[in-house]
Amino acid sequence: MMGKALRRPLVIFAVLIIGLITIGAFGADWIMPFDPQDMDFDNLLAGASRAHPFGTDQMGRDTVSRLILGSQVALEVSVGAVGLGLLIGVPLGLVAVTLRGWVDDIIMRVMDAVVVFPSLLVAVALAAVMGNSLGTVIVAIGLANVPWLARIARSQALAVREMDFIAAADAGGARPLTIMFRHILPNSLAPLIVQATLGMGYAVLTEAALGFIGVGVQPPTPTWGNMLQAAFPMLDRQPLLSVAPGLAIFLLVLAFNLLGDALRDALDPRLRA
Amino acid sequence: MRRYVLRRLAQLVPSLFLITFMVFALMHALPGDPARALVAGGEALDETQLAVVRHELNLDKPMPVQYALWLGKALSLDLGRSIITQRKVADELSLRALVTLELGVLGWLLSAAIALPAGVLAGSFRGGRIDAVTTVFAVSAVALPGFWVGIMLILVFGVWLGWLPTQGFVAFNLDPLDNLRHMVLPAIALGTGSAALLMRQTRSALLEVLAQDYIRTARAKGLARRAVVLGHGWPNALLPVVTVMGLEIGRMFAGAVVVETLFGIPGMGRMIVQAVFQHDFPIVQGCVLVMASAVLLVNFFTDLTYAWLDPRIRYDG
Repeated sequence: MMGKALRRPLVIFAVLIIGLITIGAFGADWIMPFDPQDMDFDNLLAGASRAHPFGTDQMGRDTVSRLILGSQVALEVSVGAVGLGLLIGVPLGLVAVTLRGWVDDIIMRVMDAVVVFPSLLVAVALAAVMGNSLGTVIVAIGLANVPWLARIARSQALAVREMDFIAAADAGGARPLTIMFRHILPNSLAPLIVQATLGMGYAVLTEAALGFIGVGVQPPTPTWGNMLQAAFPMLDRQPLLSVAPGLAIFLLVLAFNLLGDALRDALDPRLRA
Repeated sequence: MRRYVLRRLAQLVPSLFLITFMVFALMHALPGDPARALVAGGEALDETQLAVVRHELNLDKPMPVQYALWLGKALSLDLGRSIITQRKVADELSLRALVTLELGVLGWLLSAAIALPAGVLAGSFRGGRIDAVTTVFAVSAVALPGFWVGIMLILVFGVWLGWLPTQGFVAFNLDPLDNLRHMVLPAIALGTGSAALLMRQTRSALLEVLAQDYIRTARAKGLARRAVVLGHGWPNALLPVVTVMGLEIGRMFAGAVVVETLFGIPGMGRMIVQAVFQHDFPIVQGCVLVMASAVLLVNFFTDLTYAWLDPRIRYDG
């Protein structure tokens, strides 16, 4: 059942896309056909050619090389933000279940309050406070992920806690924390993995939006979002410059979403959409 | 129902307090002295002037007192003054909020107008051509950045065809038609992602309902497919759809930040971005407070709608 869900052509496509972009990000120095900061004033806003398959920007820099380098930020943000969300959200959810009572109430009420701040809004507000940087973006998107992951961890842990093997561990004298992290957490992972994968796609979208409005990682470091920002005033002269980063964002987010859906089908058929 | 409303109201109040506290705390997370960040020319103030500012803004009092005083002011809509324009934040916000509200409502209506019929069609003809087309649309549109959809719309309808304006805003009361012409593309850019989510939700909710025994009974009685789907299936599939529609309003506010910047619409979203670059902190704080409170209130009313539609929620939850 699990293998079947993960062997569908679309899932293979998704894994391929994520794999290729990851290889591109890690091996950028070797793969990039040009130096992404190299300006070529004889080749400003060039269209597609054999040397520059996605053309060049207003400073003659190669779009493909900049897309490859931009994939680093996209992956750093998606992994960093979801990692931070898991690191804070999961323990909060588990602590709420372990301690119950007023601790549970307080944690979940705070989560209810945090959830109303969209990640983009958090990022914009944090940028006003902390300044524009990769760290701000990761922290903002990560914080916005916390309540969702905490809620999932909590509801999953609540269900697992009622199972017989937990009662057995309890009767055997295991400490509450041991039960929580050794028995309940490993059995609650499936929906967390699904949400984390979907969250990565959402993080890529949010990072791109932030880059476009100029909040977040600043030029000259290329990100797919700030490439779109720079390309927008050139839309009537070189549309390709606006099309290429959009397609890159679309493909990576699509791949994360397809993989998340497939993992949901594979790991927990009850959650199937 | 009254008991349910009271219970939800009781939950709403602490959440509202927490939100205001977080926005208040944001002020104290500012690097350096908040007094410098909260008034015009704050960077150039000397210690005596700073002491006056701190006293005026109650920054010299203990933290809980500061919060209580700040909250009292916020409740009476006194959110300070913009550092750049010197106008009251509440006045600036009220002008811009209406623009964002119009954009959000248009985007939301548009997404519902596309997603609900398409989702119902896809669900009632499962596995058919319509289902395939809507599924491909839904999966793709969720992965598209809304602002990039906007850029492509500007390219096609503005740059290439020249049919619609791509920048600026005309107030509805000045020229309703021109207002709508300016809002069409931003509303599509804002609504596409929501339409996709809503479509998927509608389809899966309808499929779940159509698999129930009472639907089989209705079919066995000889009712036409249309009557079964629209009369028996759709009303019951509506419940989860309402929740998603409510949640989407929150996403609309976030989306408006980017879409307004892209299309040069003078709403709250564009205002907060400008304020970040101008270091106009009182405006940032005001925008965050209004947007987060609006999302919270929408969620509250969504829950009430849900309970009104489904009596089980009222009695259980």
